[in-house]
Amino acid sequence: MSSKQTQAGERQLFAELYDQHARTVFAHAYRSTGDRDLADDIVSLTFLEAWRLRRKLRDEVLHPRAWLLAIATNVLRNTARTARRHRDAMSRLPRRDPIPDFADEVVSRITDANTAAAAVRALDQLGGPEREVFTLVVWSGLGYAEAAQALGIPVGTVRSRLSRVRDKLRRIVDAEDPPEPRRVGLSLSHQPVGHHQERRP
Amino acid sequence: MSNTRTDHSEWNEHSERRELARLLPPPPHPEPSPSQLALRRDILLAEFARPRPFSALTARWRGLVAVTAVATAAAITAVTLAPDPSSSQDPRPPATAASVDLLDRIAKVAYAQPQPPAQDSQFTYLRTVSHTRTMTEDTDGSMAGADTTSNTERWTAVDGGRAGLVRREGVDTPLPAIAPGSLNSPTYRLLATLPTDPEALLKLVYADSRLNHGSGSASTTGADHEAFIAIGDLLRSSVAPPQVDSALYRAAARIPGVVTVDDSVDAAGRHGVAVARVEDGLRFEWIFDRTTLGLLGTRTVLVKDGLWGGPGDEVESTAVLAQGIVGALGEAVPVQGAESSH
Repeated sequence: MSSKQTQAGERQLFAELYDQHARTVFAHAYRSTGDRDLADDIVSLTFLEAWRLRRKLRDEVLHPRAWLLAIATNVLRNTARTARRHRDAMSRLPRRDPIPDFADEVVSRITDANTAAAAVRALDQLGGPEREVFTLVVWSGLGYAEAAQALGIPVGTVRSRLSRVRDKLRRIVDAEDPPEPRRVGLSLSHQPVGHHQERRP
Repeated sequence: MSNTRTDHSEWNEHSERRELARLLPPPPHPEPSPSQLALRRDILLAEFARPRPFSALTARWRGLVAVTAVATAAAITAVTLAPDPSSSQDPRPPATAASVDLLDRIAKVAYAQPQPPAQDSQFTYLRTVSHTRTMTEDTDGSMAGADTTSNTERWTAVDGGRAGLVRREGVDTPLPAIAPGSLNSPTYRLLATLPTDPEALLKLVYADSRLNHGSGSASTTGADHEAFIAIGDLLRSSVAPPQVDSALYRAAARIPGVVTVDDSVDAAGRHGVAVARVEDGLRFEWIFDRTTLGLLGTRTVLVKDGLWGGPGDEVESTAVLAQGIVGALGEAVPVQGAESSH
């Protein structure tokens, strides 16, 4: 097989990898940063890094989704440095979504952005390592073992970090919601918060 | 799987995860549209193809990744097996009898359409007009809405093997070749290979939507709604063989929560009857000509008060003005003589 053919095959596999996981990586990046454009960049950087590290995918990786989220975690830690590494490629990516029609971005954008920002503020009260474990396991659905592998830490450490997160979040929630009937999640809501807002006269 | 110790620790993991998700639920995130994702993907793939020193990889790679994919599927299944009480989606009743009946009639009409003689050298053509309402926050914190209208023509190679073209408001932008395509970035050839058995087709659509929106994915949308959206995207943004269109309609009739809307209007002002699904305060409608039962377009409407308006306010709409197979980039299919259905 010529190297050209091999590369075509690899690209095809990456196309599939992207189709399967780009939205997961985007959701993870968006929830970690609360910034849509930045999340778009993180997705691109994650796949550029994945391509760079594709030997690893070949030799070691069992769970591509966990692997990609691990790369995304590194990109989130070192966004500027990774962006420099892929400066040329990034400069060729469209800055804004060039296809704004077709349903996407339906609306809830602003409210969602507010909710996401509130969540990011809550995340900020956690330490970096706790935050990473929390977003990977609770928001992006990795198993404890997968998260441990993704972060290169023992599974016991995942457990202990999560239990620290739980204690902290309980304190925060209790502080914010004293005697009222239980309100879930730091007053965050999955619903649009329109009813809290005054409509313009 | 039957090991009790494992079950026990999995259960602990599950309940701890639930407790954490309750304390700080995953915030909603915007959904990048399939077309947008496809574009970025194609640009990245073009990037990978740029000449640069790299070592040739062996064919072993392909085999291993295939194994990997199976392993992931297994891992995902393991997560999915447990019921997911943290899911915010209520179980929905099955599609209403009226919607099943309407979709059945629509599917029959779609099936009877002439089979286009598509050659790989040709292009699918799609002409649409769309309105999108975007809200921006003013400096004083109030919200202002603005509508944008976009006239779009899009050419995609039948097999995706050559570059395509999008002409938006008269401005041409080349689109990268996408062969062989995927469910999220389909080519005519790819669509022609889809199962025409609605059950099998729906399974395929769900396999994709579960991956990103099912239990354990932390998605706030849910696999059912994502499947509805995915089918809607296929219907309005691609040209498919009649038997596939027909199967897509029959597949949609199997999605819980599907209803009908007596009167809706597309982006070209054409009224019709709609098949719809409500999710998170928004109703997503597919609009059909009352007489011919052909697809007119799609629309998203608010069903309750929100920052960007009140019930009935339109968020975005599309009208499919023309579609078909053409011989070359830039060649158009005449706009259908519309406005008959008012």
